[in-house]
Amino acid sequence: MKFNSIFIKLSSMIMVIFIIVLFALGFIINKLFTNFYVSNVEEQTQQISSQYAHMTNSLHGMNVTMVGPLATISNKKIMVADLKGKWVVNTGKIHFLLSQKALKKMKTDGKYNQLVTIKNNGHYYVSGQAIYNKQGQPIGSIFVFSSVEAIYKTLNKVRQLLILAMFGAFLIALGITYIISRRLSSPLIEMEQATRKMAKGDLSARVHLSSQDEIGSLAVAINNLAFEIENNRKTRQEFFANVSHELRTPVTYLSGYAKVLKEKMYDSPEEHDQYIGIIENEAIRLNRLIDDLFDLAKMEEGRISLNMEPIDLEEVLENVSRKLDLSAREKGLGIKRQFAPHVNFIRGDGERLEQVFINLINNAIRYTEKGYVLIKLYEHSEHVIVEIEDTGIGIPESELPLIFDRFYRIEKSRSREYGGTGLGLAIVKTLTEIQGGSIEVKSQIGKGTIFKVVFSFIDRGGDR
Amino acid sequence: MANHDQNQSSIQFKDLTINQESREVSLKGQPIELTPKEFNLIVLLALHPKKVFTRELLLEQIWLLEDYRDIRTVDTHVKNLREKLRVAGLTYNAIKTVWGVGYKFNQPDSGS
Repeated sequence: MKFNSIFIKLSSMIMVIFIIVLFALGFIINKLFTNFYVSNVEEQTQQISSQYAHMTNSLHGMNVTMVGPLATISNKKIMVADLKGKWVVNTGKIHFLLSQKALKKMKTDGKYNQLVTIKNNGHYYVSGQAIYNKQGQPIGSIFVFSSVEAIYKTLNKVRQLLILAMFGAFLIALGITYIISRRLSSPLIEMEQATRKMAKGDLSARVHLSSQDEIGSLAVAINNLAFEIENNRKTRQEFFANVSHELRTPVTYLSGYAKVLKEKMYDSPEEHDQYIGIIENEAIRLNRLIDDLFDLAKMEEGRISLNMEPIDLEEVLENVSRKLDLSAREKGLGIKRQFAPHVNFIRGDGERLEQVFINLINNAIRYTEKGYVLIKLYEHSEHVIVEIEDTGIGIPESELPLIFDRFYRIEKSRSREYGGTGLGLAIVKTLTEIQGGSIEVKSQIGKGTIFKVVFSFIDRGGDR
Repeated sequence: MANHDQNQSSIQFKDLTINQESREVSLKGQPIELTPKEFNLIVLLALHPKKVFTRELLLEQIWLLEDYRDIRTVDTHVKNLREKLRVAGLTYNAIKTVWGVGYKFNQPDSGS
């Protein structure tokens, strides 16, 4: 595992916090226990020493001789010293020298409390109290020694237990941290591995996670992305297959008829002209196909630059219908116009809009044998709508959703007869959408088709 | 194909006559009523039939320094002008949009 992995980071962070808490807690518990035991002894010892000091008013005689038995009863060591710090009575026979500091303290405060360690005798809590004579003059001091050895032993045991408990807690924390960190980092690692696989081209790789949290939604997002890319790749492959097929057909015609001409395999000059005509048509077709492909590729890469400006669709449609009037009349069709007055401007690129409507109207003419092509322009609740209606062969309902796909053709066998590239509607749809419009289609077999292009209008500027 | 009259005050494009002196536009002798701005617009464009005018330039030349200046004003006036000409019976679009640039006078012969 890498040193800077999220697992290490997470677990070390948790452990640091845990250790800090554990140590603070241990320290406080230790302090509490010590205080509890020691303060008990302190209180007791101080009480005894002050009681004795009150009872005594001279360093000699009855009161002082009482000290021995008293000490035995109370299980303490009691010592009496004169003002200079020399022991007068020493019940415990312990070697304890009164320091100057202690004597000074006794003089000023009248008492002296301290924890001391006595050689070969262990730890004691000592409480001294000044003794006064009847006139109230200090004459010496009494010291009570309480052994705290037992308490120290108890405290040591408590400490040992505490350390053991801390160690146990530490181990448990380590385990929990490991589990938590694993739980948090393993989905990340899985996602990383999955995305790596995807990057290497295995797009069927998926992240298998079912949690509902942010990590879960990230996993879902990764899966969606993979699906999208996979889809994209599939359509691209299909597209290339289609392109090569579409390019090959005219090329086959070209080389075939060129060969016929080269080897003079025709009987009459008319036949010769007919073949040359075929070659010319196929060349034109090939040219158109290449143009369309370039257009589409540019649009899909977003490399097409649009010249967006206020556009009067009426002018666009007029230009287009004028351009296509001739080809319509050649087929005996009329182009009818039905424009509502004062239609609002839209925002778009005039040239590209012309391209859209040229494609749509050309299609209408191509697939209509009898009747008319009707161009309608009107406004409807903040939208400008153009309808291209024809009385042509129509489109089966089941194929309506597919007609905007690249190279999709309704009647594959007859498509050559109509002469389209199969890219027209894909271009129309993309162009419409990059200009902020939308397109829909309605059709009835044998009756005709209506393409409806919708743009939002921009407010009419200026005065009317 | 502009045929300027000898007095230079009248511009003729086939059936369309623009008389600068009387500030009148007529089609086949029938006068078309235009607002002063619309008239200025058609005169300016007709005087330079080969030139493409950007919206900014038209705004500057015709609206001068009037308070209300919006680039869209030009579009609206052009649209209204076109409509008036069409209603009067002009069969082609006299004011052509050069996409992405501006407006240009459209002569009948190049009108297709």
